[in-house]
Amino acid sequence: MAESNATLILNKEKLQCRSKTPLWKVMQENQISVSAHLAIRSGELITDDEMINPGDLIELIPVVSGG
Amino acid sequence: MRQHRLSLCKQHYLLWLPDQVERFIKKYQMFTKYERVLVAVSGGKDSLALWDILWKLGYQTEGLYINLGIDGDISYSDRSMNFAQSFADQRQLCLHVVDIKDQYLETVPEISMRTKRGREKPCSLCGLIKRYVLNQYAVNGKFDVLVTAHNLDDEAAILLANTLDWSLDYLARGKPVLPLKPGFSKKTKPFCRIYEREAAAFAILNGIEYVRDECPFSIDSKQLFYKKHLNEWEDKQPGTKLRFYLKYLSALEKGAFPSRQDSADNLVHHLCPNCGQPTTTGSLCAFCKLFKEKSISEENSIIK
Ligand code: SF4
Repeated sequence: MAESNATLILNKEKLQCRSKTPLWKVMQENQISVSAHLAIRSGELITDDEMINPGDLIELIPVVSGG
Repeated sequence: MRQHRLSLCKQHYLLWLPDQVERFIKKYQMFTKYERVLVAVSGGKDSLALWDILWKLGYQTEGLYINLGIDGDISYSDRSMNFAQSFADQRQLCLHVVDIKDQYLETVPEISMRTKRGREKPCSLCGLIKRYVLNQYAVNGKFDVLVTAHNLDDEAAILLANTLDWSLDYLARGKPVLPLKPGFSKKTKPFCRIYEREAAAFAILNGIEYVRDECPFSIDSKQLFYKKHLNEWEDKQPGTKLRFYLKYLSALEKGAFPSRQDSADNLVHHLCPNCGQPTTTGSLCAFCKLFKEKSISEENSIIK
């Protein structure tokens, strides 16, 4: 069963997610485009192949702009 | 960076991206360190990251911010301008500001509300105003080149839109460099092969403060729609956007989209009787037509 012990923050909304899984996979499961976001953990930019640790708080920053 | 099959630490990334940009500036013969470069600055991640890179590489740059007077309950234009101004102040760079309301007595939303084109598509009217003001500023200020921070995602989205419409005129004009022509500044896009995500990562890693709010008019924009789909493909097949754009450039180089005799580029240009800028019609240019009833006075020209 999936553990729900890390948190993603996207547009100020919190989303519980499992840990011990690469970030890209969790984003994919939550239908969040990897190409359209950057991720910050403890003030540091992390790549999408980083493992999510239990208790992590990861902020996803949308990078797409346009008009 | 799956698209490049590359993984870099912060320190190397901050060296790698400027190296890439310099490579493209040289490859496409955009400009040299002896030329005066005007950077179009919006206060967003792309233009500030680009300006930072050009400054660090030693190019002679000045910035131009156009205050469009967009508020949207978030003081969007004023806040964007503050980001651009503090960026310039921190690096002791020169930022020029054109305030549309001061110059033309109306903000972009106000002009949009009273014109058919603006009511239907504020972005189309806003784009026309920005292009006109940027070009006029670059020409009158005798800059050698005007630089915009269009990134790979912007270029791929425009390319997708133009391909779906088979807009041959636009497809013939998609090069990263548009040459100098009478009345038109040379225009270049040094970020044309840089992913939007790469530019944002550079801005964040460098501690560049930029406006994160989106322009209130961008909701439901076509460009965002195309970018969303391109990103879905990119997630599944990293490198899709870059391949799409590079293959297009190579097709363009081989003459796949020849410039037609009747395209806007090849039409004889007349001078607009109001502002003196080139136009394809014998009457007022599209920009001055917006102000036909308001009649822009001589004093309102941007640089004398
Ligand atoms: S989103 Fe549209 S209205 Fe807003 S700044 Fe961009 S082009 Fe102008």
